[in-house]
Order: sequence, then structure tokens, then C-alpha cells
Amino acid sequence: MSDRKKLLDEIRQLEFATVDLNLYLDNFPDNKRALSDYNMFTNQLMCLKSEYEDKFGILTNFGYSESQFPWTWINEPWPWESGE
Amino acid sequence: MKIVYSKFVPHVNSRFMPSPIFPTNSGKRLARAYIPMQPYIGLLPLNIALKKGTIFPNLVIPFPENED
Amino acid sequence: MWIYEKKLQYPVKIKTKDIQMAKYLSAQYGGPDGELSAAVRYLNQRYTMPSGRTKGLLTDIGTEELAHVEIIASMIYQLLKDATIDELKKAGLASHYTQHGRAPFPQDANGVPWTSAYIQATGDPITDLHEDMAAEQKARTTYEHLITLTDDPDVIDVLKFLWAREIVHFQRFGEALVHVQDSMDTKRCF
Repeated sequence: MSDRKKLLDEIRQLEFATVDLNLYLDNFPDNKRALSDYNMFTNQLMCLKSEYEDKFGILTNFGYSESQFPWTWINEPWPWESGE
Repeated sequence: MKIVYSKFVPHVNSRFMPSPIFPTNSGKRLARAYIPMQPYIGLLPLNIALKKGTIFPNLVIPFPENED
Repeated sequence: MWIYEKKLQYPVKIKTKDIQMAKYLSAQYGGPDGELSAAVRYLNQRYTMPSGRTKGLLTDIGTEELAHVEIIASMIYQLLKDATIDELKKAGLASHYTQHGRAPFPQDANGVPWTSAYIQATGDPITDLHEDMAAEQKARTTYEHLITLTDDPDVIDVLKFLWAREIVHFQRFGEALVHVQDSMDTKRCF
């Protein structure tokens, strides 16, 4: 399994955890454990994304991440083609 | 005083048929829906969570098998 | 304001080709109980939700549903991409090909176009949350039907993920309903 796919799969799993926790927190904003778990995953996610984006191109545009040269946002394949 | 409703039987006890799910002193009201709050009991490992479709072990429901 | 992340929430790798599923999957793309309906419904209802919690929840689930729209579209795209014309004809997709080529299109499994008649926003949060809970159940049932219609393990894997998300969303909307009802009760205590 390539380095890229492995890294993206880790990002996918981490981000999924943050989405599910986010929805829980919307209904239970005072749950300390939920929030600390959310923050822990978010922290890890930010590191992994930074690593991924430097090597393979930005995952989010509109000012969320800086891009290498030349502009990496338009790199192919796009998610529906690669299935990633 | 004239008796208007000679056949009227007074309604004696409104709690005669208690519901086992919502006991009458549970604070729940009629004509309302209630979903139990999900307790936070911990998280699944990340790889399993994505496959199962949730990070919460108490929200993992087995997929119903075919009727065939 | 929306931001797009260049990654599917769940991977879609269709290898063996159950081509006719492209037709049935449209139900969850442009159909009444599909992901597009869910996304537009929640994102539209959020404007008149009564609290930060409910505005947050409707925005967030609505946004997640857009990610699911993308997953369904990706499945349809991959199924149609390499199908031969003969395969398309056999799968009952020739009329789709006539009008749309190999492009996914927001219509139901019978080609009926998506419409906002599939959704509602009454402005009453209790009513709207009940609609949302019903929507999640309808989506869940549709996924169960779709899973029964195919043996393709790659397709079933993705559909089971989406099925599980509907159950979680139902729980979230149910909790929000209870919170809204509680806070309305408290407001009435003078």
C-alpha cells in the first residue's frame, strides 16, 4: 500500500471520528470527555493533513492550506475518479 | 335540581391503566415523542469505527439479515 | 460559507460491475429519500432553528449529507464510466445515456427529476425535527432495499456505511427534539 494511500486512510479515519464527535457535541456541548476526545483527534488530524498536503497537494482550498508550486489544488485524479 | 345525565358514570381513576414504558410519574407528556439520550461510554478504535459507520460502540446496530 | 475537502468521506472502489445498480442508486442521489433531499432539507431548515445547538446540528448533518451526495455520485460515475453500450442497454440505462451520457443526474430510480416538493420546512422546530427523523428512517429503509438488490461487495460495503450514518443521524435529531421540547416547557414556567 502506497505511503499516500496509507496517510489518506489515517486522515479519513481521524476525520470521521471528529465528525461523529462534532454531532454528539452539538447536542451535548457540556460533555468534557467528548470535547477532549474531539480536540485530541483534531490535533492529530491537523498534523497528518499538513504532512499529506506537503507531499501530495492541498486537501482544502480557499485559504485553508498553503500550496506547493505549481498550484496543487487542481491535481488529478479527483475523489470520484480515484475513489479516495 | 333536575338530573340531566341520568346515565352518566363518573370517571373514577385516570391512572387505572398505567403504561409500563412511561409510568405516570415519569414526567413525560402525552402527544410527544421521546428518544433516550445517548450516554458517552467510550469510543471504538478508528479503523473499526469507519467500517461500522460510527465511532460510538453503543450506536453500532447489526445489519438486519434477509427475510428470504 | 462552504469549503470542499478533496477526499471522499468513505472510499468508493467499484471493481466488478453490477451496472444496473447505477439506475437504482439514483434513488439515493436525486430521489425523495436520498442524500440530496436530506442535505437541502436540513440546510434549509437550519435558518429557523431556535438555538445554537439546533442551528449547529442541522448545519453539520446537512453538510455531512452533501458528502454523502458525493459518495452516491461517485458510485454512479464509476459504474457508468467503463460500461459498454451493450451493457448499458441490458441494464436499462439506454434512456439515461440518451439524455445524460455517462453523467450522474439528480433524478430518482425512474428518472423523475429532483424537486423541493420532496422536502419541507415549516419553521416550527418540533415539526421540522419530526420530518428529519422520518427522513432518516426512509433513507435507512431505502439503503436496506438497495443492499438486497445487489451482490456486489464493493457496493454493499459503501451502502452499509451510509445505512449506519442514517441511524446515528436519527439518534441526533431525536435528542435535539427532546432538548427543544424541554426548553419550550421551561419557557412556559412562570
